[in-house]
Amino acid sequence: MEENTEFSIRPAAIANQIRTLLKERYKEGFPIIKEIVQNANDGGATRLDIGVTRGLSDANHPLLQCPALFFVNDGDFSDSDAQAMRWFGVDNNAKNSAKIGKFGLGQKSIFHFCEAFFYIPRSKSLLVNLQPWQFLNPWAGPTDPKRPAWKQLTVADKEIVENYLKTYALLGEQYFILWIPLRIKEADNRCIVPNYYNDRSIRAHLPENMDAKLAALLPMLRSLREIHYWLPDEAGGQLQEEFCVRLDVLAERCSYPRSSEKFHTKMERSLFGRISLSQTNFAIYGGREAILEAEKFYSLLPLTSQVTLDFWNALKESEYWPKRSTEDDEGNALSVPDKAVPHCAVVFSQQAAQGTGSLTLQWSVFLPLVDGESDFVEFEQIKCAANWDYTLLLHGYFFLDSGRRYIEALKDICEGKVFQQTPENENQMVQLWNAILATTGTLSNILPALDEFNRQHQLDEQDIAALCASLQRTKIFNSQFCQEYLYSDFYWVYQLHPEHSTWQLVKKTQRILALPSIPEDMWEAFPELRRCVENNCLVLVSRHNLLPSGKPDSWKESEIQAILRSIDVKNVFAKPKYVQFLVDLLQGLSKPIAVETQNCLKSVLKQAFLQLEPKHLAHIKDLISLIQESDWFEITCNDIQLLHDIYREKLNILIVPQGLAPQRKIKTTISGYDAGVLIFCLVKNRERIFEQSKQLIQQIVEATPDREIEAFCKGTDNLEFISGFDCRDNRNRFYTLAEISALQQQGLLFLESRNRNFATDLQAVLGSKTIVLVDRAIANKLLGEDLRDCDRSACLSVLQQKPELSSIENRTKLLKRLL
Amino acid sequence: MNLSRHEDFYGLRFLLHGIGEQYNSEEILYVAPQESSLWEKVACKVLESWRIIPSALADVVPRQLWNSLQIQAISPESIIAELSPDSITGDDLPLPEDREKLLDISENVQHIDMISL
Repeated sequence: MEENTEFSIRPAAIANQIRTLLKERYKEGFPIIKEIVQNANDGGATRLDIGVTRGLSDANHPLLQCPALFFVNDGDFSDSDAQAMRWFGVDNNAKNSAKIGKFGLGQKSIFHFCEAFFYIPRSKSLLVNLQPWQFLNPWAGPTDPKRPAWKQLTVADKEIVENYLKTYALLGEQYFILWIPLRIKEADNRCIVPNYYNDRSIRAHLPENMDAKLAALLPMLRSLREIHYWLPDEAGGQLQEEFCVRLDVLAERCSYPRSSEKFHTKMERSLFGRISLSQTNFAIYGGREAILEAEKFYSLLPLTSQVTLDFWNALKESEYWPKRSTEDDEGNALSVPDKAVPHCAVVFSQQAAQGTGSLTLQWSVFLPLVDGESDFVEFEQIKCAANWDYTLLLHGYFFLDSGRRYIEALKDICEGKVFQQTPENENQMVQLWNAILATTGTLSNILPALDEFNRQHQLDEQDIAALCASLQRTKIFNSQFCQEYLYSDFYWVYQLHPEHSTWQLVKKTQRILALPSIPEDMWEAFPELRRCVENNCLVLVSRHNLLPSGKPDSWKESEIQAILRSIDVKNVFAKPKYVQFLVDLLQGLSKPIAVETQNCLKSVLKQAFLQLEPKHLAHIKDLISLIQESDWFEITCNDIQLLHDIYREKLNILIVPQGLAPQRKIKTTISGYDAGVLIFCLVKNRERIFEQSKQLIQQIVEATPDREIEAFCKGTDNLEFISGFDCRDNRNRFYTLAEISALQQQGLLFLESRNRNFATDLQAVLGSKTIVLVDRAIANKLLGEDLRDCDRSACLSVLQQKPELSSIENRTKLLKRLL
Repeated sequence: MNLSRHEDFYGLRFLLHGIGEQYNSEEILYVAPQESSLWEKVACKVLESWRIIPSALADVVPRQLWNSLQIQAISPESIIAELSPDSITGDDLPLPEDREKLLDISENVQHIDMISL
């Protein structure tokens, strides 16, 4: 007799394994529902009913009499499925890439709720099993001495279950019933996990928004189209439908690539659809799926021509390609290469938010992996300033970690830390596979998926903006490494256009230029922008465009100059919104703004000052502040005539009317030439603005640097602009610089002061000469030396010139003052 | 004569005599008395007119500054000092009493004994 070499597995060991599984891999609550959904989908079910019941009082089996959760689907159930229900830790789907793990470890997650369970299948696929319905009790081996009443499901009890469900029309021609008696505390405390439930408390262990969460799964499923949830009513425990999520008939969903398929050709498909949650509440989704070409994965193998001919087989045959243990049809242990499907998909879905909107990003292998755990790359939830909850599922046929909850090395992938050389062990192979799939597959498809989502459902522009704002805050959009793939081919922007601005997918080669805002009638006010949209993509800065670092592109100075030259000055400068637009646009340029652009701006501002009164230009300070301080000069006067005369002259500096100048950091200066021109204008207008002119001249002269005085004097030599007090005529008058210089040389020019006693008496004494008093600042600046006060000493100096003297009476007065 | 000269000597004196050509002159300026007298007449005969300054002007100058400005009142002593033999004739003094006075003085003054009255 052949010696038996197999391990003997005892019930307690199975209970321990389940306990570990529940603790480490499957969390309570929605993850269990997700596994049930997955199994129903793998079985080709189109409908799944989930229910809570108070139990079947007329059944014999004690576990049928107590409160239970039940799941009914109309999918297929085969003999191998029956086998898998009993197996533990062996993947019966290892060879079938279209199945994710039907009745594998995931199925065992139901032990969170129960100690044992029933299943009743009815399927044409069942050939061998004469009595396919079963009661499975991990404690039994084959009987359970501590629970002798926990016997196999009898035909009578099976029919009681079926009849109960038929009452609610939950059973059709084909079905699979999973009946999970909720764990009740027993006297001996034997349990897999010490969690106890009844038909009320169990509801708290399922998510409140289960309808929404289930709806988010439907786009990623192959066959399941509707899921119903039933609860017992308060009165007699009659089941009432709590909700039903149903996919519309025209929906396009993720395809499940078959293992038999050869992935020789690249495939890209649009995904879209609508899911009803109630009569008035719908979820919508849209996205992309793709099968990547083999070339993208060539780095996984040392390349030879043979490899490229049948790459996928060569890959599976690689010694580093992961393998799984299973059994063949005869029950022999078998090691098969893991599934290698270069499949990825990205799906956006949207449904009404209960409170604040949100974006939930979940990496998935069809169905999302981690749920509600913020410390992982696989799950991220971010607030969204819209009335919607968005879900972004990022699918790839990834290898998972040993706990099968996380994508192997996803964090490293997103940080660009994965070893990119041809793998030299299984670990490197797994990581590089995941990296290639996640980057060139999943990440690269996010923007096309968003475009598809929008194209299919014509989303509100503001909602897209809010969604994009949330996306920008996700880890992947903030990762420099991920950006390389997110923006590998496209950008997603709110493209501005004179006729119709829209959210668009734009090619990476497109030049993107940003505008700060879209003021009303912008295209008319800034006609050059119409020309810009012909060759560039114009976007709004504030619109949360999905662009990589370094985008948008920079405006060329020549483009900005063209915009400035094209504007209708009167229209633009009369409206603060247009001026602000210009300010913001120019502020977006690199600093400092090029001289040519500044000159252009100065020219435009000059026109504005010519065409609009200063009182209508109070809002242009910020615009002026963009010009170098040395290039503008505020004149403390708002006389329109004067200003117009000034703006008609060719000045290098921009003259800013009073009150329109921004705060200065440096002292005002003006070139000698410009100062001369200003003086010319002032002299021309002096009669009308006599009072102001003296002060203005002083302002201009003071602002003229010493090095510019020579040029200034050249331009003003014959202009009577220097205010002086004529002591002979006892009045103010204006002198030319030549006159002042002559007076100075004659020693007859003195500083103006409050006390003119000496000057008056001296003047009275002088027969023909005239004493003139001038302002200190102007005199000192223009004459280049300190002028004296007309005091005693000055009088004596004048006398020293032996001038003709007047009457004795006048001389007496002066003599008295001098003594 | 007082050697301590006023610091604004020339300027102030110019105001007193008013003659540009004499600005730098340091000669004594005489103050004409308010009432006409023999000595004023003599002074007018023996001195250049610019040197005789109106008393209205001179009175503005404090007495203590006169010396420093070379100003003197017209007096017999001061005028006699300026006299020369041919500087005055009888025709210059039509009043007999004036001629008498001058003769009295000339007896006592050696250098004017040649005055031809």
